[in-house]
Amino acid sequence: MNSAAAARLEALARAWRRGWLLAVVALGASVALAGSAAELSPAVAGLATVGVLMLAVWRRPRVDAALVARHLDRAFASLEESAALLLIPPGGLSAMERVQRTRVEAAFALLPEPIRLPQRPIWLNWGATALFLAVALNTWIAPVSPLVPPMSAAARRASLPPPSLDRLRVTVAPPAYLGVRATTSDGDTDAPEGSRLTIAVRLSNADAAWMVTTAGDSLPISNDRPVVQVAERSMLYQVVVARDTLRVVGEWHRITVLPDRAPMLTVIRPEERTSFPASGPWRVPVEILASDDHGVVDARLLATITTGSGEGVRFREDTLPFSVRDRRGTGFLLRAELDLGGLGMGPGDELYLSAQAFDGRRPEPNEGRSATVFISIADTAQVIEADFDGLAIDRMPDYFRSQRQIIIDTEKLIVDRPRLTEAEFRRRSNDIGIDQQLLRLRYSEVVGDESSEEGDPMGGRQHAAEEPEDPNAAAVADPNARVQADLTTGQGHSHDIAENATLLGRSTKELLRLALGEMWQAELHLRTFRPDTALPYEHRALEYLEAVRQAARSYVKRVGLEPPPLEPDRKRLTGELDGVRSARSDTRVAAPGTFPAMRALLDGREDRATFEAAGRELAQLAVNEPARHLGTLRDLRAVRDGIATGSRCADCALRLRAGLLAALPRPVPPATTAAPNPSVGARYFDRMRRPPP
Amino acid sequence: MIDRAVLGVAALALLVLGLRPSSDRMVDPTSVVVRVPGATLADARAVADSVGAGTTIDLVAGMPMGSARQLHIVGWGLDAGELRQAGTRTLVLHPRSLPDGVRTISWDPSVRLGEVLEVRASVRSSRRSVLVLLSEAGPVDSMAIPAGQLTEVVLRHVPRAAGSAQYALRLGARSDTFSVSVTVSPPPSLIILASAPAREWSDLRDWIARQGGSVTLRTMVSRDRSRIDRVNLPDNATWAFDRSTLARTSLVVTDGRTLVRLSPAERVTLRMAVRAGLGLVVVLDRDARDLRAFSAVDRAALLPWTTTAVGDLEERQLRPRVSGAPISPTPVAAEPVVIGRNVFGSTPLLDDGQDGALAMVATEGAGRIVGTVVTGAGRWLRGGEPEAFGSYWNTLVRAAARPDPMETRWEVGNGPLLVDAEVTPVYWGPSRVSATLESEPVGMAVDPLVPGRAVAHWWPRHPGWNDIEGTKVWVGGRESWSAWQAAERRRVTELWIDQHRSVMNDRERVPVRSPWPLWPFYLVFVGATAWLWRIRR
Repeated sequence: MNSAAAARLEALARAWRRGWLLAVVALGASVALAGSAAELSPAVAGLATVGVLMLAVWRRPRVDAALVARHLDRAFASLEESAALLLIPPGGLSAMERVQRTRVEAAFALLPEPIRLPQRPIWLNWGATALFLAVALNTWIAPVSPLVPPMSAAARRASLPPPSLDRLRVTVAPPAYLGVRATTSDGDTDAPEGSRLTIAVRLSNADAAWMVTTAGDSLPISNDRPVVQVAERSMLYQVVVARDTLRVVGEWHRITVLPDRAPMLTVIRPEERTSFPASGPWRVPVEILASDDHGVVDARLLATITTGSGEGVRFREDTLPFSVRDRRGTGFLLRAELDLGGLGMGPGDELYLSAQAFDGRRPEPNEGRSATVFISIADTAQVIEADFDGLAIDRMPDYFRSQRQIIIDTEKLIVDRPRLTEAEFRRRSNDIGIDQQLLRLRYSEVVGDESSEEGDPMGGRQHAAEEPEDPNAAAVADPNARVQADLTTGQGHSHDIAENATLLGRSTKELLRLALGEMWQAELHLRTFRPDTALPYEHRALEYLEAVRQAARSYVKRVGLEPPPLEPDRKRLTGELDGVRSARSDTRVAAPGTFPAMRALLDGREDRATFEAAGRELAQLAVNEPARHLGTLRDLRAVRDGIATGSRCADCALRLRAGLLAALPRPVPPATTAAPNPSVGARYFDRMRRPPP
Repeated sequence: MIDRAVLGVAALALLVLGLRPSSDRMVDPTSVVVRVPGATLADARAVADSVGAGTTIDLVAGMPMGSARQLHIVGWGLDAGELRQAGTRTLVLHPRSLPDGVRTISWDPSVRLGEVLEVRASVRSSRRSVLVLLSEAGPVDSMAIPAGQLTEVVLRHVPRAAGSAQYALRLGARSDTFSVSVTVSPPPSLIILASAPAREWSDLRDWIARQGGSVTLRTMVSRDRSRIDRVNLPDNATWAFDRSTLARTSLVVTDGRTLVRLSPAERVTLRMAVRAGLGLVVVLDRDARDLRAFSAVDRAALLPWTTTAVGDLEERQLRPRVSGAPISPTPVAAEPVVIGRNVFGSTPLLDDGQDGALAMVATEGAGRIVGTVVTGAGRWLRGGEPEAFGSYWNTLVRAAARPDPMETRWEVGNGPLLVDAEVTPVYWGPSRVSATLESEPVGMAVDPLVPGRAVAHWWPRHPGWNDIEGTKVWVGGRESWSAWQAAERRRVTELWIDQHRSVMNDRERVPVRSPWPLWPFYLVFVGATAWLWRIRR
């Protein structure tokens, strides 16, 4: 095998290659350092480093033992150009070659140590490495030198193009319960309520950026830090990009939040008011149509059963399931059949029935309730036998007092509102609305009207006036009404017309109708979760009911009570004015201006402050109607930027004017003055009107 | 045989062509046929032949009218400038049919912000089409136009902002532009006299006050005792119903019951103030209709109308209409009477849709008096219809309130403005003798009859927006409003002819050598030659 000389040659070659490799690695590192010092982007610096390394590897010297042997042949004459023989095993040599190998081995052993191979390529690498390191050191050292001010970076930044928003992506991840995939858009988007919004941007040449919203937020945003929000209410937003003193304001975009609406329940069967005879069977088929924008999860029937009468009335509430559920789109057609006897009802009892449904909203489901239907069983066990002649009768049923309780409940709800969750607040408001509805239905019965859940509140009463209803229906539905019906019959009133369906006088009925109208409005606002709006209607309804009471008292007066007579001659119209003084008040009322900045813009004022103020006014409108006003908002910005840069956009200005005009509300007709009256005209008319002599 | 005959005809035709013969024709040298837009040259020549006119002038090509004494106008007629050129010549119009489109159009030259702009037009279209009124924000009103009928239309819109509002009227593919000046004026100063507290007066007071107007509401609470609510007025220590107070007031609103309870001195003061220019609105209640409640002088001066009962009613519920359009579908209460129209110079403001006047305005000296029988306009306000309430009171107040002498505004025509067509801008405000119209000084002529009114004459020179002392007006090009221009030519020409009608004497006719028309002979010659050539082949 190889001799020691051959091993030595191999060792020399390996040592040279190691030295070269070390120099190349150092060169690569120095290139990377220099790139970093020159503030090249990491990609460019890395690419340069790899390039240099690849070039070095590609052009590397092929140094091996044979090359070393050839070098030694040139360098040492004592090797007699035969050093290559040292690398050939002796077995493969001829006799002459073996003799020569022996001589060379001897000469090789006598070579002066250490044997030095040419280092020029390696030193060249080291030289380049030093050069790059010098560049890097110079770059690092130069800025901190007190003799060289840091101008280069500032100058470089100043030469950069303005900061810009290159891309805007909005990802909408709807709540899991909706089962809808996340979507991505370029700015404007619709998001189901509760969605997770991720607004990501790609910025160029920017130091900072904010997302400004019409909700009043100003949220920092950057390339690697998107804004994450939960969609709770619709808003407009824009991205403001800044570098040093440069600020670039992006376009307005909209996020329209689609609320998860509560289930809608429509009672198909039974009728709003159903009466059964005293004898069974009492089976009530119930059909409810339940629908929801994202599907109904659960539904049930709520039954309130009243037994007894007067002060002894008892209430019992129960929850009943539906027996059949037919899917209809995103809702159900729910069916059930109630056995009133099975619910423990008997003659004279009443059932207030409504349906309740929930959707899949999390954490709190939306709750929807249907209108309440009124089911009663006639009571034949009680017969009113009384001689009313000459007696004062309190014709006002007991439940007249409940309006005050509704007001108390409403006021309490308004007070409690800050402490309540939205769902709880809505539920209580709806419950009070249902109470108001029940009360209204009972009064409707007294006044001889029908009631309808839909249409004009007055329509039901007008209809009642046009179409006489069954005179006994009210009596069957309500014992008090029955008393009145009997009374009416006894006194010869005609029940064929609704106007005479009660014993109440005309003025009393009118008051009751007014009260019913107020109850309608109160119920409307309660069931749309606006108890504060409903409160004035409730109060007015109560006032009307109190007036009804007063009217009833006047009847009492007729049978027994004599009010004290008025004394107008003594106390009125005496002409005594000593205690009376003329009064005077001075007040000032400021004329409210609507959208002054938008009007100023339309009038031709085009300064920056007007644009900013008009943008704010328009943004307020766009929050509610983004599809209508967002384009105008963008045109406003385009016109403003066009004026600032001197490149006016004529089309944008026309569109802006049209948009602003469309956004302004219709003005109220003003009080204004007449044209001057021609003096010759006045004389002419005077002459013409003058009677002939 | 035929060949020879044909040859003879050809030779004869050739002879005529070569000799160019002529004959004498009797013409009237003082009559000239003028071709104007709407007629062709053939139309003009036909008329010239029929009337024996001496020459034919093509006014369309810019030829002068010459010195003829009688002009036969063929076409749509002359415009105002051309009529002035015609001078004292006798004109005879030979009209040609007008083109389809907007024949007449007018609108209020100046609209207050909040008031309705009414564009009244008559339109004819040979095809069924739609007339659309467009604002800068898009279409705002439209009306279908039946085919082949001249249709009167009224399009309405409420401008949304003050300034110069641009509109366009589109019929089919054609669209013409115009502008309206929308102004904002300070509300008038008002005094409301009430004999008892009433919601109606409070509503009126608040309506004026919310617009920044000054209101004084005097409510009688007892004999010689009253409550005075003053809104947006300087805090003066004393207030009295006297001449100086009324001189600073634009309008007094009251009812008959209060008028009856005014002292004689107050009534005289009010009467004199109205004659001096004060406006007065009176609700014609039962007291106002009581003939014994007022003296003849007071009745003639303050309540000049008679009323007619409508059935045996306590109260009417009706929907008042302004200019034929109901203010609101919601009815309001009114006295059960209508106002008689027999007062000379009195104009109805509101009607009930059954030819019954609900409000009338009459002049009294320099002032105006409005009588109304509507008593429950506040229902609109309380029912959520402030526009209806405002529209009702705007109609009454605008008809009566004394004008503000310091208010300035320009009214530039109530119809289309065209390049090179004369415009008469009207200026309302403090007296002035000159104005700058589109950067050119123009003299103003102060109206001697109407105080505060001055007029100028102006010919716009370029189409598009023109500036009249800050008020921008839109001037159309020569080709715009073509149907209106044609109809306007005919209207002013017919009006001129009607006003300058003179007896047409038989004029002397003189012979004029008239060359024969050669083209028939040329045709005969060519035909005969072709015949002969065919036979020869």
